[in-house]
Amino acid sequence: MANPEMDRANELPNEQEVVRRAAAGDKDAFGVLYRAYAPRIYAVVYGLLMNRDEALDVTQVAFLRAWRALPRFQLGRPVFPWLYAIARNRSFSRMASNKASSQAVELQERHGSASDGHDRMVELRHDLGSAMAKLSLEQREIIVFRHFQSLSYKEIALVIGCPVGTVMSRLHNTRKALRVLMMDWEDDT
Amino acid sequence: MRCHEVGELLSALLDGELSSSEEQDLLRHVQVCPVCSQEFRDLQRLEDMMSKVCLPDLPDAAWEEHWSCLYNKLERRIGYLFAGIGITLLLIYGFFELLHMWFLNPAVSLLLKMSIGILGVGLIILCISTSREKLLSRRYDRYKELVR
Repeated sequence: MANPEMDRANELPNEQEVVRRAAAGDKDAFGVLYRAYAPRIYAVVYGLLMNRDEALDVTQVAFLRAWRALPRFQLGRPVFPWLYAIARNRSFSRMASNKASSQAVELQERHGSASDGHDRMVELRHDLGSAMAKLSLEQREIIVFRHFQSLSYKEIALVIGCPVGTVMSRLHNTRKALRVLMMDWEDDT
Repeated sequence: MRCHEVGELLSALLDGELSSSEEQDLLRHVQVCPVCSQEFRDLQRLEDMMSKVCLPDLPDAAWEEHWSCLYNKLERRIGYLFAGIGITLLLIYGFFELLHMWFLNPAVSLLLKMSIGILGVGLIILCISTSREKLLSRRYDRYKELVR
């Protein structure tokens, strides 16, 4: 892929060749795309919907739709933003028709992170997950891409389809909102 | 640099998204401004909290199982397509056969032709009406995308 901004958003080395084969009906090639991108799509969709079963459903539906639309896919473009756009639309419409499902984002302890003790970590996971659930979909989306997928601003802009400036301001506003929601927790430290 | 210009640049500084000159300008301001300095510390604390957690992932075996389920659906889709084409061709063939054997045959009575004709028209209307209802109800079905 020529665009350096997409290096992490587009991790499959011979992606275009795989896409070309998948678009021609090669299911094994589509399987390669699936294995490369489904876990990442699922992680972001889970961050949006906060429900494992729904996130798996949306991931599956997104890939079924992608399979049907692949023959019309413009070769040369990165696949992840395209796949994510399909999953994002499904997530937003699923969320709109299922407003009662938000409770908390289930978070795990990151491997290799400095441990604050088990109880403290459980508390942090719970409070941060509950705080994230109170954010809007767009806010959760940007937090997931930045913090859990480690995408740069340019990569996020490309995936979400908005200017870099919008990413910067949305991320800052989201952090401010999250900071307010986590104020009590911070006061404990 | 003034406080109202800093805002979202603090986040960008935290994420390493600024050029070195922008970074130096901003750090110079943060060092002398207690308000922006406090805001930057708050953002760093949040970043520290976020760095300790991650989203849950599924084990590789679960992804393989998920893929084989999806693969079967893709395969069945081709089966449905061929079956649909075959049924359509058979229906067209049957229609012309019926036309040839019954309706164009002077030996068959007019009453029988009319009865079969009316029955055919009724079945077509029922078929169209049911299909339309199914399509419309699917459009507004909240659970249509749930893969069961």
